[in-house]
Amino acid sequence: MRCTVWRHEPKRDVLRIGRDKVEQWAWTPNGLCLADSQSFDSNGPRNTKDLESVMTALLARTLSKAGQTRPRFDLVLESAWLPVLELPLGFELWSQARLLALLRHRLQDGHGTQVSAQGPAGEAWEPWVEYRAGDPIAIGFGLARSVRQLLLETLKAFGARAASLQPALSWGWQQAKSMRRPARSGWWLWLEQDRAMACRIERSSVQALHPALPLPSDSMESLRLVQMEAVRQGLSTLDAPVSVAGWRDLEAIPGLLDSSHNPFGLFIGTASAQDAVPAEKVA
Amino acid sequence: MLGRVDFLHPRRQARLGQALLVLGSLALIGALAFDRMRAAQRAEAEIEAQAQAAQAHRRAVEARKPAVETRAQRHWRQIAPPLRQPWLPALRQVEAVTEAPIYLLALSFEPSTGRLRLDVEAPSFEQALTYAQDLGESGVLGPAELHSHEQVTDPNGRSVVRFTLSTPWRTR
Repeated sequence: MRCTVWRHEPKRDVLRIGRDKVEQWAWTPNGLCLADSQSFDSNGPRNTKDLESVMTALLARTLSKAGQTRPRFDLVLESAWLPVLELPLGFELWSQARLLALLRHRLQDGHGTQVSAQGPAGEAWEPWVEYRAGDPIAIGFGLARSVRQLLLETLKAFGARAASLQPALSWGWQQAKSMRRPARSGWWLWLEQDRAMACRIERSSVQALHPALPLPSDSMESLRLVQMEAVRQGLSTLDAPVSVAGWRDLEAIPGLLDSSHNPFGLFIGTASAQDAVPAEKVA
Repeated sequence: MLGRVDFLHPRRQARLGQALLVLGSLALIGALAFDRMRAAQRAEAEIEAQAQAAQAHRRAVEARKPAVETRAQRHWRQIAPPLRQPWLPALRQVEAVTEAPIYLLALSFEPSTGRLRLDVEAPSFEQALTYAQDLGESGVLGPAELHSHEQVTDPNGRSVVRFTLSTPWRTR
C-alpha cells in the first residue's frame, strides 16, 4: 500500500488523550509507536482533576526518561474530552456565526454539566465548525476551556509545549489520507478507546455522523454497527465500502480485509459486506 | 471533508487568497472589457472591409458590363450637345437686330447642321437684306444665307416681303 510521509513533515510525539488512558506515541524509524501510557484510576465520570493527575504521572515518567529540552507534543483528544457533534442543517445555507451559535447551544445543552468551569473569556466552550456550503450537515467540535487550560499548563509545568491540539476524528482522517484511504464514498468507522464513530461519506463529503457507537469486537460487528446506522439513516442496503480505522493498539479486530498500518500509528482495514446481515433483520 | 482542526492555531482568513481573488476578478473584468473593445474594433474593421469589397465588386461588375446604351442614355447623348451650347447670346443677337417694322415669324435650331433658321417679315427686300447682314455682324452668329423670299400682301392690304434665312451658330 502506498503511503506518503513528506520529508519535511514534522515528526513530533503525540499525546493521545482518551477516556480510559493517556498514551504517549513516540517517533521511531517505523513511525509512531506507543511509548508509554497511564490509565485513569476509576471507571466513573471523568473530570479535569483526574486528567491532571494522569497527565502529571505520565509526563513525569516519560520526560525524565527522554531528557529532551522543551519537547513539543501534538495533543490528540478523543471525543470523551473534545465532543464531536453532528449538526443537521437541511438544505439551507448557514453562516459561520449562526453555526457557531447552534454549536454553543448544543454543547451547553448536552455537555454543560460535565465541564462547567468558565474559561478566561467567560465562555465554557471553544467551538469549531467544519462546514462546506451545500453539505447537509456540519461537524461541530467543542473544547472546554478548562481542559485546554489544564493541558497547556500541565505541559508547561514540565517544560514541554503543545504544538497542536486536535480532535482525534479529524487527526485520524488527515493521517488516513496519506494512505489514500478511505474511499471517496462509503463508510468510515473510527475507533476510539471507549466508542466508535461512524461517518457516511459521499464524494469526500460527510453526509451523516454518529458520534457514539459501541466499540465493535470484530469485523462482523463493525458491519452490523454500520448497517444499523444505515437503517437509521433510511438506507436499505449497504453496498458502499466500510473502512475501519483506529490506533494501532486496537488492531485486535479480527476479520478485516486489506488491513494495514501507516506511519502515524494507525491501522486501517475494510470490513467485508459479503456476510453482512440483511437490513430487514437489523431493523 | 474534514479539514485540519487545531484549537491552538485557529483558522485565519486567508488574506493572500482574498487578495488573489480580488486581483483575479479585476483581471477578469479587464480582460472582458478589453475583449469587448477588440470585438468592436474587429466589427468596425470587418464592416469597412466588407464595404470596400462590395465597392470593388460593384466596380468590377460595372467594368465587366457590356457598353449597351439605354434609351435614356441615348436620348441624353442626343440632347446634351445642344444643351451645352450658349443659347442666350444667340437669342440676344436675334432680338437685338429684329426691330419693327421687321418681324420674326419663326425660329428653329437644327442641331444636326448647327444652323439657326429664321422666318422673317420685312416691308421691303432691301430691309430684308440689311437684316441678314446685321445678323451676322455680331460674331455670335455667322454670315446669314437667304434661302427664299416672296412678296405677299398682309390682311391690312400692305405689301410685305417674307423671307427665310439661315445662319451658322458659333458656339465659341
